[in-house]
Amino acid sequence: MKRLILIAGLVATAPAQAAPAKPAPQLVADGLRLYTYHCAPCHGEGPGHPGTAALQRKYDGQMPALLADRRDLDGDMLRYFIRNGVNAMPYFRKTEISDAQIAAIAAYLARPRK
Amino acid sequence: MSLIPQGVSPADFAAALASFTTVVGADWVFTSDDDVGLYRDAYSPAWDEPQERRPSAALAPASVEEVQAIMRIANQYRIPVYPISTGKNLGYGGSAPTLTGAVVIDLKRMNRVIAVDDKRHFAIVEPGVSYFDLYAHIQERGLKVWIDVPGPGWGSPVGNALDHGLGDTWGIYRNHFSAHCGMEVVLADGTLMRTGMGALPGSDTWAEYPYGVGASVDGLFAQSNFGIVTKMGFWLMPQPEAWCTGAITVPKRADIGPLIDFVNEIEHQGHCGEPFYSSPLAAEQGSPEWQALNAGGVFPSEEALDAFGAAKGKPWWHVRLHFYGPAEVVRAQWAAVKRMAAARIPGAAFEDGEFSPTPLPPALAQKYDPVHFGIPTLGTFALTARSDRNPNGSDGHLFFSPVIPKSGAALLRFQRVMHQAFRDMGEPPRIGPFTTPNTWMFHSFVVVVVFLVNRADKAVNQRLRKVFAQLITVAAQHGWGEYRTGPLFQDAVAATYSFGDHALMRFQEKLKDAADPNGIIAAGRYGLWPKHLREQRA
Ligand SMILES: Cc1cc2nc3c(=O)[nH]c(=O)nc-3n(C[C@H](O)[C@H](O)[C@H](O)COP(=O)(O)OP(=O)(O)OC[C@H]3O[C@@H](n4cnc5c(N)ncnc54)[C@H](O)[C@@H]3O)c2cc1C
Ligand code: HEC
Repeated sequence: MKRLILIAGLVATAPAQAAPAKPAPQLVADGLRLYTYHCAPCHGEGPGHPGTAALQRKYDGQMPALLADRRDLDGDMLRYFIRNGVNAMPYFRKTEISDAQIAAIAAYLARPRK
Repeated sequence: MSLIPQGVSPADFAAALASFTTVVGADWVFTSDDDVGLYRDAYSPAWDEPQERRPSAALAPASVEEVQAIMRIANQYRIPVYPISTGKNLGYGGSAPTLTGAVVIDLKRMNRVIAVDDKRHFAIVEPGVSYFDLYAHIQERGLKVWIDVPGPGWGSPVGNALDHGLGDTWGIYRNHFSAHCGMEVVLADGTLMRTGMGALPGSDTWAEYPYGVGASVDGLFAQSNFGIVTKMGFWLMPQPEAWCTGAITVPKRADIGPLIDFVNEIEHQGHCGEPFYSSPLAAEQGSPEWQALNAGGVFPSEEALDAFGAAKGKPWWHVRLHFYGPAEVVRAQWAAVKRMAAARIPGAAFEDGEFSPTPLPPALAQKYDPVHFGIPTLGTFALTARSDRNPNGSDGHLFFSPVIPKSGAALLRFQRVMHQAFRDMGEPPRIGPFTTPNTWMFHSFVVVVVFLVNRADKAVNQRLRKVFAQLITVAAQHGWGEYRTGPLFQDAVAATYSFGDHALMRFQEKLKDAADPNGIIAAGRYGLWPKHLREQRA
């Protein structure tokens, strides 16, 4: 599973605070909308969300199972996963999610939090 | 760009791409390896092998006129094209073409909901409208209709129906192609055609009466390659006032016969929605008793299986029923089912289930699976994603999905025959005593087996493809045909439908040669190749 090892490496070496300090609120709002539409059906909270269940199993609490709680996923990392897929998560075509939209999702994940 | 279509010169391909660009704009012509790579089948069972079917480029038109212009250019340069709607056909080929080198026409941008009528109960949609989109459209407007969804909500009514996809609510709505009504199609030469009442200018019953007059040609556009569908109508179910559920169990193996006969009768009369069969004993496969009984992988005798069930104190079969309609009626239906089943099926027992007005509270819908209420989700990906049951997850999967009769005798025979087929190949049997049918189709069962693919280990995929091909053969020898399959197996599956020395395929070939003389649309889809490519049939 070369791909998985590569991903694990990426995750391990990612800087904790790679995101820009203050993403524009509009971009964050767009990102939330796109995240809710494209990602939350698998990465949402509660039963019936196979992405969340898989990440729980993968990291066993070492990382938040909920993608929306992650802080280590910057634009490059997100682009990597969205365009390459990972395990049972297939990649997305540009007609589904454009590069600009990936940036908005990244801004949402990098939103200021307590 | 690393691929160009077979038989097309680089100069012609470049000229065609330049013309396509004038039609759809440079942003919507994809030629770089990275961009075109996104059209590979993410779940391909032949990833990075020569057998994998790969596109050369992709185009994303925004309108019917652009699709027509694309077809005229494709005909001029004889460029093979392959239309997709939302392109989420994972497990059956993804967004990749059947013919390597074809240019994918990605209709995702054509995403208008043209109409939803909650008085006459139909919708008309473009190909890029997903089940999520259609559901949101209906919810936002408070319309009183349900849609019928397949497991994954990100697919489309159009793309799903055009591969004969299936869902989980009530009777006629679950078979998405047969619930469609009326199409708009761009033909190979760019002609725009409408079927059924759509052919009558000014008609407003396009999505209500399917035939118009004369030959019904809609079937030519599903699991086939006669045109690019740009609009499609679908009948919708009115939102029922209430729902309730209940389950019947029967103790012995052979009781599945009367159970299925009974459920068929009430279902085909319209008294319940999709039945869901399971075996409570499947959970006992880890027990020492089962390990002993199953030693060496044998299929135990029916008597031994009954004794195992009795020892475990569990019934062999369980069926959950869903009732939809007025509150008094759904309760009465379940009461009638219990009365009739108790009289007719020896040993039948009942589990009274829940009742709710619609819409169900979300937690309740989740408990019984939202697909039974026409609510799109992606929860079904739990089937193959990483979990305790499946700690490595998977790089996708392949569906084996033959059609069998809706009878207990057929199911028990299927279990034994297919179990033996695995053993004959030295494979751990994936079909056996606990296998139950899927009930998406109204008048037949389809039994689905999910095989995990592995991108990193080609040997796993190669073995899987061999096993899969053999399963197709053995099933067909017993009269069980695949209802649907991915590009890698479409030739093999189509060849099993061989009555009259392949009369059905020969007839389709005649039509294909007439309707698409350059053979540019979706060459090879379900075994139908244009003249110049017929020799390469697998
Ligand atoms: C976990 C899982 C569970 C699944 N469960 C189900 C299920 O319950 N029921 C079910 O039916 N499927 C199921 N599937 C299979 C598949 O995901 C769905 O059927 C999905 O809806 C198909 O993708 P799509 O709608 O995007 O169609 P597309 O991929 O867009 O289209 C499918 C094919 O139809 C043809 N086509 C599409 N659009 C056009 C057009 N406009 N003109 C001409 N030809 C066209 C093309 O050949 C295309 O390859 C499941 C898959 C997975 C991974
Ligand atoms: C069809 C379900 C599905 C959808 C939709 C989906 N994912 Fe995933 N995703 C998964 C699964 C399953 C995994 C876990 C893969 C594994 O087990 O290694 C995953 C993993 C990931 C990971 C890797 C995390 C890690 O540390 O390994 C990222 C990042 C990710 N998804 C981002 C997204 C984004 C962003 C979206 C929306 C654009 C999205 N996903 C949509 C199912 C999905």
